[in-house]
Amino acid sequence: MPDEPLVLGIETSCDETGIGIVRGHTLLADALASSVEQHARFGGVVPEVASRAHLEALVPTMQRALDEAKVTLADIDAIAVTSGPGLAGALLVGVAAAKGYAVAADKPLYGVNHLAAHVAVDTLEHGPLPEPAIAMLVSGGHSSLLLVDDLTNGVKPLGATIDDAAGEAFDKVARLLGLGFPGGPIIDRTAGNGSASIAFPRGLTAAKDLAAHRFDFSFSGLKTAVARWVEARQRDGEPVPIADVSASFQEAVCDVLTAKAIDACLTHGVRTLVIGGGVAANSRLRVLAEERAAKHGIEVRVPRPQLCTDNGAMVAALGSRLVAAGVAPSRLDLPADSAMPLTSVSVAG
Amino acid sequence: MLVLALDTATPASTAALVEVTADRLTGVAERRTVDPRAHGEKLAPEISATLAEAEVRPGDLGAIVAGLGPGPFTGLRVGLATAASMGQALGIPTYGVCSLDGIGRAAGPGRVLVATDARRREVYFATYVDGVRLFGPEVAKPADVAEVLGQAYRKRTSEAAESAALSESEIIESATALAGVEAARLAAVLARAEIDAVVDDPDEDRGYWAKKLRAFDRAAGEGALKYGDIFGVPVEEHLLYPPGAALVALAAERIRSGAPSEQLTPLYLRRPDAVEPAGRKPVLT
Ligand SMILES: [Zn+2]
Repeated sequence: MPDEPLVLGIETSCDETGIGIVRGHTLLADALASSVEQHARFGGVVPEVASRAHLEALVPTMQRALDEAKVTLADIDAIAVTSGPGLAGALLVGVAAAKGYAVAADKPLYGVNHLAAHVAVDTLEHGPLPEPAIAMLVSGGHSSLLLVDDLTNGVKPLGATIDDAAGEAFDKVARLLGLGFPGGPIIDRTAGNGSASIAFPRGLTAAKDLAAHRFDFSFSGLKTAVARWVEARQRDGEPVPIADVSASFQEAVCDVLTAKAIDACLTHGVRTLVIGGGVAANSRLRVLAEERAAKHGIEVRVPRPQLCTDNGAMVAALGSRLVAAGVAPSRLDLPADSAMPLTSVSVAG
Repeated sequence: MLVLALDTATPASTAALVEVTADRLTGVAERRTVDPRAHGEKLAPEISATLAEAEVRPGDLGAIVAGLGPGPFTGLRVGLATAASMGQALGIPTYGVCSLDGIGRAAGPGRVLVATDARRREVYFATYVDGVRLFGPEVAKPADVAEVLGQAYRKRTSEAAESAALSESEIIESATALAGVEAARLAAVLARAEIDAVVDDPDEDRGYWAKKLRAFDRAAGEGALKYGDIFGVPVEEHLLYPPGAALVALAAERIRSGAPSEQLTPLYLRRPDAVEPAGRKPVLT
């Protein structure tokens, strides 16, 4: 359908420089440059290192995206950029570049919400999203449960982590086990050779916590419990069963995430659960979510792993929906907002 | 050719339009907002308004010149990301210039110290003679600038001075033979400022170097104003930020000769603040 808008998306909220191009719901290009290796020795993303890398990577990544989609900037109908939430300095590089492209090529500019973009990306793989839907976003930077009534108009946060993000917990436990960074994929692989035989705590699931934190998460206590368990084994001079610890830790995280996500679906009478963010790539999370959702007739939609982690395609996907819905573009004084609330899916002009 | 100049290395966001012909530069329009936290919000509307005021479409631009800093990183990157993306979208070359050079160039004849605010109670600074940079850019505490300059001058001129000819013309001659034009210019400054004597002077205390700072005729840049008491050099209060026309002038040769586009890499001068975690010992090593 040539009438569908051709939208460019720019993502620089954390350590991935992403440029995506979509036409309607069709993904044409998804170019990515990551600074993850530069952060590895620090055990987490260093904002200034990420910002420097974004500035270096932007122009070449844009060129790769345009080449891949076989279009020029003149062909683009609108430019969408993550304007928040995220690392302030990193966001600003993408927003400034998006403005440069918008001014030079005379295109409308949409500042969009990173979390809403994580939800929108699913449309590239599974088509239009049935609404309302529950979205669970789990990554190194965020862990949220959202009620999506109309993605172009606002998303209602139901709950979020009260301490570490889910991905952060994976990173910290991986470091504790000497497995490297980022922790998610390594723990997933290591857990495959072990069994979830150790009973680690499930944060905010006790009856007394559920009253105030029904849809919130907490992973800090779990991380501490893993550390204590490991230290006790070492103190006793016993070998640490890395695979079993990984599997048990992963099981505790996935158990809480999926239980709360399904609970959110049932509570709000919603039959669609979308999972996004880097942790959505976790193999156990996918299996457990499918298993539990099936019992209640809930459909689980998880985009393929490359689309779950931060990328430009997700921003373009949300931009495409905003253009199609006739939402007003942002103004050129669009700020980068590191704490952008979910009530604003895009920054209207 | 119409050239767009952008600079966000200081609290000012500057967008300027300059007409470059074979023999002259003509300022067409310029906008500036001074707000150290708002480059990201101010710059793009300024560009848009500057172009509109001059009735110029982006497609009419022939090149973009951007101030590479040094300057506070977050704001600095706004100008460079904007310049790079516009250059890519328009298919025109981008050229980088040192932002301090823009101020130094605009300051005109004489010996000039340029200093901008590097935050954390430090300044980015460089020195100029007749608009040409001799030292820097560097970053230091204001009170240490004199000493940094003195050490550098002494180091860079010792060879020339050792050759013993202490009259200005002789220094220039011997320095040219030794190290080329830049060192010769430097030696000339030293002769004029009588700083050459430091080569033999064992007294390196702060008061001594501070006195030597007086060799500058003027200082420019908002850092020079902010720490005026420490530098003790008359400040050109009208010249606190890099003017667009001066930035374009610095790249004029490249623009006129159609030099290849340059990647706009900031002059960071500082490494990212990042410490490797001592952290918990891995279980397995
Ligand atoms: Zn994300």
